[in-house]
Amino acid sequence: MKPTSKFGVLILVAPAVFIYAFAVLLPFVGTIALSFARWNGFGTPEFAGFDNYIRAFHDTVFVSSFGHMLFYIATTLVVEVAMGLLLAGVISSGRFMGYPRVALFIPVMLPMVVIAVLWGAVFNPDFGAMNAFLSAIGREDWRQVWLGNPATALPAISLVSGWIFAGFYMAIFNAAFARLPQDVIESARLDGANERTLFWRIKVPMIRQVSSVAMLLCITGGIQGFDLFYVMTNGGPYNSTEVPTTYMVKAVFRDMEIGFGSSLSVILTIVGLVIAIFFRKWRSTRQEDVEY
Amino acid sequence: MRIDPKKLRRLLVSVVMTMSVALTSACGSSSEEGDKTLRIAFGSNGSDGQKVWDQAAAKFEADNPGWKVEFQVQNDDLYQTVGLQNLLTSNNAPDVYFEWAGARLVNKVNAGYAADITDLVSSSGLDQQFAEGAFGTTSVDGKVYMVPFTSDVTNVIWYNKDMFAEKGLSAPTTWAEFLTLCEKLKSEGVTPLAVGNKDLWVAGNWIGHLISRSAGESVYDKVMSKQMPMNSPEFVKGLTYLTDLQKGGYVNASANTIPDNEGYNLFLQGSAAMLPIGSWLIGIAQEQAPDINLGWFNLPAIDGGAGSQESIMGVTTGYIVNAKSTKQDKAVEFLKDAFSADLVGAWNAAGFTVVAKSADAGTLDPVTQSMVDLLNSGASIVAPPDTGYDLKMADALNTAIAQVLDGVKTPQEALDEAQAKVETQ
Repeated sequence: MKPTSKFGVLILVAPAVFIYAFAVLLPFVGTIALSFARWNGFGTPEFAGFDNYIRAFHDTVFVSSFGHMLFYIATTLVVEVAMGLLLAGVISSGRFMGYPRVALFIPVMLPMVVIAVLWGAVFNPDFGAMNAFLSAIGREDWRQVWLGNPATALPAISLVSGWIFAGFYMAIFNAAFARLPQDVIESARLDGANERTLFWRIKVPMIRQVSSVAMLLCITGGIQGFDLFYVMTNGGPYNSTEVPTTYMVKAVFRDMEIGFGSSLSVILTIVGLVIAIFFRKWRSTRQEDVEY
Repeated sequence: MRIDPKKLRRLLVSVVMTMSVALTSACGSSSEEGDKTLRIAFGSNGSDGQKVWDQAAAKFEADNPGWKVEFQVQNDDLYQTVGLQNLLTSNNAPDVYFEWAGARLVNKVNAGYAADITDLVSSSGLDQQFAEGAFGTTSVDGKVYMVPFTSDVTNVIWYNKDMFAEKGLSAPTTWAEFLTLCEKLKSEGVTPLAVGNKDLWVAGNWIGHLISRSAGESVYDKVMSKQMPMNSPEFVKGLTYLTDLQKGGYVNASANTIPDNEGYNLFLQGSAAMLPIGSWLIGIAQEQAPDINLGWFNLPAIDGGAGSQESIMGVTTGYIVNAKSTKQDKAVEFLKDAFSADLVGAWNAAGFTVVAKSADAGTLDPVTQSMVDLLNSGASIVAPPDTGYDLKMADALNTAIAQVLDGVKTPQEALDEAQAKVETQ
């Protein structure tokens, strides 16, 4: 059907555009504008030029928070995506269909804050399950203040993240495996491929596009990661698990430096975009997709 | 069905128009003419506190026919961060609002949200309800900007009296005695000190006090107000006392990972013998461990410390009259009702150590009374880093304290880093 009047079309999209502009565009532009200002939430913001950005690049806590973010992304690519892939491989091979699949997916359905509090208790050095377990197996010397030691805090948070999302990626990969054409798999079996060869040589290469999406989801999720960090350590001990998002919240809601906080969020957005663009370039130049 | 595009257009235009009219009118609905509503903003005081407020409001409304008191109550954390900010810039801005004396009060004065009520306080007779000098901490440059509400001691060292008696221990008065006591407790398998320092202010408050004892109140104040560097030798020396505790292993190893309330629990459940925290522990103990026999001692004296060795770390809260309010006289009148001698007893019963004079003394439980006596002992009062000074300064110092508490940095290294952090801001 052809629209009879252009004005009518405009009117029909107006409410959606209005809401989008109000809830997304306006704050977006506002944040960029505020990132060039000094403002404590009161009175009128004053123009600060690039001061906020210069300060951000000199801020050792903020700069190191990107290191923590990259560590978190790299670790979660292994414990979430790679782990999810392996779990999906095991499950799609026909074994453990029912209960394990549900059990592995349950953490995805729990609220993040609940999980963070729960694991905070597991890692608690005084009464936590982790140290109790180590004592029980006779490794008293391995007991740690897990979330209080800069060397173990970040890996501990990444591990919890893996515990949650491995099941999520497992579900995605499992769905991708399920829609692979059966004839290819059957021919491979006839050619004598065992489950392991089948998995690495046939199934994984054939779901390359899905794994690209999964990795991108994991990376962008890592850039946005906030709740686990906020509840489990809130950046501590002494900023060793500070990620850009937790630092941003401190700048805005604790220090009331809305201009500085805005500049941090603009920088984080740019870094996120750059990472995503490079990732896409890298994935698209590597090899041809397998057609099926 | 065929829809006439013209009709549709007319309909949609009218819908959009109505929507925008509704939106704009909703944004601009504030009636200033003849506004007889007094708005009071604060972070939640709990149901007991609210009952006292309601009594004050009832009295005010009875004395001022046609007037109404409206409470703008928010969650405590929200109020302290963005909540108050949003209220003050909104159309229904409060006429009276809660604040902490110190840096936060000065900020409100500088931002033009605090009315100079020096004259109103004396003309209304509100000052008669307070002891002389009570307005000292709530004044800036000799002008009164705030009516004091409560005074809290934020750091004494609480101990379990029964546990001490059982082991034949007594409260120490000097730092050396304190260390001996810690060593003894540790050798008996009890964690000497419990601290829940995940949010950094807990140890910051306690060790800030220790630093002020060693470096002296004026050096402490100067460093925290950015007039001297963080890594001044006086501060380094003050922080070195913390390494005594760290090396001895006298503080729970989990200190930097658990929040304040878990630290209280370690103490209340008896797995730790002492807890450095403020007077609010009394209310928490009543609720969670009613049987515990609470005792306290002030921070032990440091031999050769430059500061007063009797000093108290404490904070005053109060109510500011909004400078933008057109009802300032009524606002002061309301505060006069709220902090009248009749209501002081009710405030105390609700767990607030209010500054205003009470009609009948001696209704407090002995521990609360001992806190009030400590505040009134005339010792100099030091402000905690986080409520007394710029939050970024507090954060830099508190982070350094957390590092030394865990032994990952020496006092010198930690304070050098803190100074570098402060300089980039």
